[in-house]
Amino acid sequence: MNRLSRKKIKALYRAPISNRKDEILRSFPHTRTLSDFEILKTQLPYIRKRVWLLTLLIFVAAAYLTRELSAEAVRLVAALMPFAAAFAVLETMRSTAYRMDELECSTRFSLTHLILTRLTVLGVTHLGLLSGCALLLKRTRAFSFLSAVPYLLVPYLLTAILGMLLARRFRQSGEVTLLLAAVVGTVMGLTPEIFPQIYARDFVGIWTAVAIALLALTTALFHRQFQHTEDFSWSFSSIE
Amino acid sequence: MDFETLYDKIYRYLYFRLYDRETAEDLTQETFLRYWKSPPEEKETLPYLYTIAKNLSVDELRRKRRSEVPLEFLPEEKAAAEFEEGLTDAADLCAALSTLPENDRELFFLRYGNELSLAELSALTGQSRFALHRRLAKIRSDLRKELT
Repeated sequence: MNRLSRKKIKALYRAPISNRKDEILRSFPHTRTLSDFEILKTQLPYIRKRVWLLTLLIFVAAAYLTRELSAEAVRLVAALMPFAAAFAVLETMRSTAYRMDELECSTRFSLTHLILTRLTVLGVTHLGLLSGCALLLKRTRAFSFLSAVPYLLVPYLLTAILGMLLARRFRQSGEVTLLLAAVVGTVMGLTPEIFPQIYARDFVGIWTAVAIALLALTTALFHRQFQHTEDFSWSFSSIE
Repeated sequence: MDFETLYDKIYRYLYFRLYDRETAEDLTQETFLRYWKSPPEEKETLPYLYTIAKNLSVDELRRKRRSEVPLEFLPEEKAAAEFEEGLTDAADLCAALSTLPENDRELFFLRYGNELSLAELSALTGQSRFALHRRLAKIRSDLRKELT
């Protein structure tokens, strides 16, 4: 048992609740702190153009692939999703890859705050991309909007999780992450050749369960990443 | 960092110096009042607040005479009793912490009790993050030795 865990130490340093906290906080004048939206605006220009371009390209490709309204298109659209995830991971971990975390930590916002902001921008953009692609698949009449979402979400989240683990392990993980996206994409595209029923209505429950499990895992991983952003960048893991 | 988080950190810091809730609240309020009189650059907010809080607590301890308050930056018995792994572990950790010099105990409290990042600690203490990283590793190592 780790007798020096961070959780235990924090539990020990618990001060009694401050009864006058609200009253004291209300007495403060308005602060000069930027709103979350203003911080978000400052970070938009730092996201590379290639990320926006790839997102647009994936959507255009999905629209092209679903033009004949064939149910077969689902596997091809699903095969594109890992690339969006790979670019999101690479963009989020860019400061670590290029050893910029030191510099970013010394600026106005913390590194954790910056990564969270960029992740919010990319997350919202990719949520739009997933929804757009699910709507395109809905047009084929083989899927409802909700049943198409897990097919797109599973490869996306799988690549995001594995990509993040790789990025944590290796600083320069760009090529490996893209290779990973290619492998996941190929698997998604070729699996129906071996198992034709994989995208059938009977399996939608399994896809949904897997998507929920991956979503929970992604949330846990990101939560841990944010709690230990600075520690990871210092390879400082002797305290949990 | 928003002002509610800053309030919690300064209040906890003062509480674990003085072990008196009401005095900690009063001094936290005074800390922020002094802060608002001449607010520094945003990135200097946290060190500035800690410096004011530290000076105010030193004055308070001088006024009270230090002998009247327990050893600073040690968890209380009450918190230790609620400790999920049981009293023995908590009591051992308190005993191990009490063997540390006051500066190390303060550093340990700030890093793990008040959850300051190395960058924030660096701004507060004026030491490099690498030096702090090494210092904290040494403190943990000393504590582990005491606990075994």
